[in-house]
Amino acid sequence: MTRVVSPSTSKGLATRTKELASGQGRSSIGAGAGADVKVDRIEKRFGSHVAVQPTSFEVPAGKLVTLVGPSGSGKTTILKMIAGFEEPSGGCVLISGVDVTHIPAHKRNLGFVFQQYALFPHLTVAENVAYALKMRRVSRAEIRTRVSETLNLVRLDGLGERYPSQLSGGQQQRVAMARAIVFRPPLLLMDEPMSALDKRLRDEMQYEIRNLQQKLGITTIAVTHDQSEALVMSDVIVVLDRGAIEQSGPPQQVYKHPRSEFVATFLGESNILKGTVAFHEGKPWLAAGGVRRVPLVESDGFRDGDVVAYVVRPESITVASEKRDDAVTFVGRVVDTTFTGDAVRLRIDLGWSEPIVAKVLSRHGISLFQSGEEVAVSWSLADGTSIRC
Amino acid sequence: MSKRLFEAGLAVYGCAVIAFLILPIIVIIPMSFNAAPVFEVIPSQPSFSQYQRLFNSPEWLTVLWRSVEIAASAMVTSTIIGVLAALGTLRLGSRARSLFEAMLISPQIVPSVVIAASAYYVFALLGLIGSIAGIVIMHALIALPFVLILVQSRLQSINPDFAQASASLGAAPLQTFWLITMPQLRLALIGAAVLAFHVSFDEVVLSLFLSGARTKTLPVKLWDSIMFEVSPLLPAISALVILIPLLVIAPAIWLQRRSKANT
Ligand SMILES: Nc1ncnc2c1ncn2[C@@H]1O[C@H](COP(=O)(O)OP(=O)(O)O)[C@@H](O)[C@H]1O
Ligand SMILES: [Mg+2]
Repeated sequence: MTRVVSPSTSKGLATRTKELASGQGRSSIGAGAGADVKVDRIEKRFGSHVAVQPTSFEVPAGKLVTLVGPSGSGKTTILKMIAGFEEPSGGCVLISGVDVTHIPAHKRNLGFVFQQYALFPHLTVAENVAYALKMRRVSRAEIRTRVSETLNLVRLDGLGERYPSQLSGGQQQRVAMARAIVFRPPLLLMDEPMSALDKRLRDEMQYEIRNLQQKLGITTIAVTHDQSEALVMSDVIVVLDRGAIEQSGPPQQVYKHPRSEFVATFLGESNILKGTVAFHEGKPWLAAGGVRRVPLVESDGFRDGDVVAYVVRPESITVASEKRDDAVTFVGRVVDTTFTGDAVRLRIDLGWSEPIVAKVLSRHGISLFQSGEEVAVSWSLADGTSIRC
Repeated sequence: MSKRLFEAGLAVYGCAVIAFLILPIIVIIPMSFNAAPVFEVIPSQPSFSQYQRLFNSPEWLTVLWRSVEIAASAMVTSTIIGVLAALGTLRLGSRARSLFEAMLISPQIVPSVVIAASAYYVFALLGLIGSIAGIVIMHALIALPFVLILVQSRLQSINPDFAQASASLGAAPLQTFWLITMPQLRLALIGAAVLAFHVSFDEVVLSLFLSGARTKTLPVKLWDSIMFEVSPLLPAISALVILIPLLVIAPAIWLQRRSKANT
């Protein structure tokens, strides 16, 4: 089994691999097998084109980290460098403290779920799932039990004899998962695992993958361009743009306190109010059109004249017929209303910025407000974030 | 109405062209079942006697068997080299790749008389004239472009994710090749091998130059017979030259059908 990882470079991983692969130590698929991962100033250039600028992040054992960013932002390239499919132009990857940068992919012992699944078309579902175990010379009897155990785990019992082409998209996705976790890798990599599924199935799989990941305690790095998927599934999200990290942190935190306009607009919908900082009675305000508009949080350390983008989420905004005292309040006029099923989107003209978008829950699908109506718009100070430009 | 007439006319014309091209090949077959010592499209004395004579003639049988041996050897050689070349060229940078590809495909671009003449010169120096090995080498060479093109286009259509998936599951590159790449290459390989066999089996020009009195291939012997004696055996031999490659192709087609039905 030492061929999995050469013992001279990584005894720890090799020993663990051996244990995991041969099924010693743990008789059934159990929790706590995750490795911690450190990506250190990894970068990739294709000729003169920089696909990934030096990038660092860490994934604690057992956590699920999602790399999220628009298409072409370097997500796949980062994942492939971690997997060993692409040689980094610089930097290194540490898995459980072992530098794997120069270890070939087939010795890294990582699970990989491909965007288009890449199920071997000439092998049955069971043979696909058994593949990694065969490579590890696991006994035939054990392969049989492990394969059926894993197919059971992804709710595909009884489909082992089918060929991939005889399965639906959702089932193929599960086979890809099963194939990648059957050998209990300490790290699972997933490249847009749900992009080929329709929306309903995708929502379902998000929860399923998350449950499975937590049940197995397997460290996971997923990639997606779908911000809602990233927010739903992850312990930590890493927002990428043009080959560099824009921001990372727990989903709630990144969502609530975007540090750049890019993050604010990429993750969910945002109202961005632009202006400059003006002090009044020793307190900072956002001023637009020469008028003080929104009080800012003092602790942010503003200076007079700073150019600021003020971000507030549509769902943080309360729309009422009358003013509230405890919050930032403006009077505006409803421009239009859009029914979106669970909510009504209102665009409201405040007179000094782009129309502001508010999302209010709809009861019986009827908006309480009509276009042209005058309303009071408010949000709590804590729901606003300012970004210095 | 006139459009229909035009289409009908076009169909008749097309059939006529095809008939003109194929009929001479097909009439060989009824001709071969004739006991009369003349060539007749409709045999006046229908019989298997020419085939009996052929299979009782050690001279012809030796040549037939030699041709099969040469074609089989050329097939194996060009298939192995062609697969390796296809795998190799796909890894090259675009400039080096087009250079190598042009080189490997040139045996089908350069006229065979030119290849034959230069091979004759080189083989004379090496003492390979009149040897089976010499013919096999040259047949493998002219079959190589077909193998290369078939295998390469199949390789390129295989999703590169498969190889990476296999590696991520712990398979070394050679294991990936045998377990993942080869099975997907199988049909292309069979096709390439059959084609290579066929190229060698009915090749005349190179064999004419390179074979000696004791290494005549079937087409060469056929050529000789046409030149020096018009034997009533000829239609039977020609029919065999047509049939043997068909026998090799049939299983390949059957396999292809079956695997299509599978997926
Ligand atoms: N093999 C390659 N050769 C050249 N450029 C590449 C290659 N792979 C990716 N790139 C480029 O690197 C950038 C990042 O690509 P990728 O990692 O696939 O982005 P993402 O997965 O975020 O959509 C893109 O600009 C892409 O064109
Ligand atoms: Mg991608």
